[in-house]
Amino acid sequence: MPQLSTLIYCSRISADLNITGVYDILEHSTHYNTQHNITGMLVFNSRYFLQAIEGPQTPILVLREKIQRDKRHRNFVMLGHEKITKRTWANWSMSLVTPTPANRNILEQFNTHDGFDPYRLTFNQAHAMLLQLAQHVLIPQVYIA
Amino acid sequence: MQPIELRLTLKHFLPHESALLMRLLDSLQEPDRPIWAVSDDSGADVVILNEEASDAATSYSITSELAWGRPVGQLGMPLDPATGQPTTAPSAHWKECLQRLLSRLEDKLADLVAWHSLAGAVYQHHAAGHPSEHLWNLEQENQLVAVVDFKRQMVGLHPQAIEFTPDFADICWVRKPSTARMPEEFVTQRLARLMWQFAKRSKLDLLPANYWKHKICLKSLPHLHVQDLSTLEIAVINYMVQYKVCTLHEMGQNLGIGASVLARNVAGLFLAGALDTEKPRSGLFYQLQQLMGNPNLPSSSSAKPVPRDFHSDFAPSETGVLPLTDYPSLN
Repeated sequence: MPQLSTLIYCSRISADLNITGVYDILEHSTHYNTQHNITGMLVFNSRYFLQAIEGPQTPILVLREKIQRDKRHRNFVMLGHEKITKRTWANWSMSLVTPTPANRNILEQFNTHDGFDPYRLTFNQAHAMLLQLAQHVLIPQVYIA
Repeated sequence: MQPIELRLTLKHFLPHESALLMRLLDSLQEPDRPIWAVSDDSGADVVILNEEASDAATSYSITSELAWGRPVGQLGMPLDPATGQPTTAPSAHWKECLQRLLSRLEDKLADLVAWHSLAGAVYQHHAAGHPSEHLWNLEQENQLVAVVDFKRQMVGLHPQAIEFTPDFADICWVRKPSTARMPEEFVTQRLARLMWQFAKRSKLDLLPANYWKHKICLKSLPHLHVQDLSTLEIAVINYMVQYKVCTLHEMGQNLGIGASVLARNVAGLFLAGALDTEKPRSGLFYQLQQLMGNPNLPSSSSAKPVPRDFHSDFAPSETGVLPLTDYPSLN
């Protein structure tokens, strides 16, 4: 059984990224993650990405490098990268949540500016927020049985 | 012309001064003139700075401070001529000065006004039942002022039209052959973006009534930058991507968005060509249902003038817009 690890990062969305580009990211990450046994969750609004990924340590490190080099976002900040024994997003290759009035109370609970500013979060706060937001996933993007 | 909403943000004003200015802005609105609204900093077209008034006369000026990245006006609050103290009942002279300041700021935003006027003409063209197909020249007194290319989903304005907004109410639409192209010197942008901006700045209810009666579906992802979209628009898009088909009532309930706010956000995406209703609009069954007066179908005499798709049904390859049926499945 390989060592599992999880990381959470945030970044600023590139100015020229179209909304189609976000769903490209989601599609490719779903495909890539399924192949590499990676699971996770992505939150975005008009300015920021906040993403948690988890899986075997080596693929996670490779993916981290890929993500950091991606031109579709900038100001990549690692909120934390830790070893884990159990997955949090075990069933989702990559689920997607956007801020809505229905989940505003969660975002306000974590005091994020203008509803959602992940740069103000610690790793633990981001993890806790993602856990609560996960209850608002409309339909998980891919369900790994 | 559809009045455009222009947005200003007030800097260095006390709360009661801002409240007074907002009341005065409302009182100064005139028909067929741009509507000025106070917005937060990120959404503002211009900045108005509080300038210390040195005497009872109103002071105002326009500066171009690069730090704000937008036109900046400076305005002194009204003072009582007799006492020199602040007053909530400004003189007619002070109101004239405020109007002149707004008028000069409108001049600085001439490009926004020109594009909005063109978008209004496109909307009216479609509402009048003309097809959203082909390339059209928009001419005024035999002068070409704008081009609308539905096939390539592009619009263009003559460079001078941006400075001197033509009266698009009197514009003549001339259909051109399929070989026609946009003149190179024209300033262009995507039709989807133009119409989306039009919806964001219009006070009209632009969402067709049948969007409340039938299920809606995502026809294609809109060609809009993520940074330009509001949180609610992103939520609506994400909802549509995931559910594919839904009613507006269901969406509003699940996202926690009220009907009027939802309508405004969905209207922008509708005009950007992203949405469609699921109900077929032609065919014998539909026509029979209409003849039988099915209350669930939109009436042909509906007050809302745009019951059809706003954009043509094809998504040309030049735009790079993929119909959702061709888009990689996310489920």
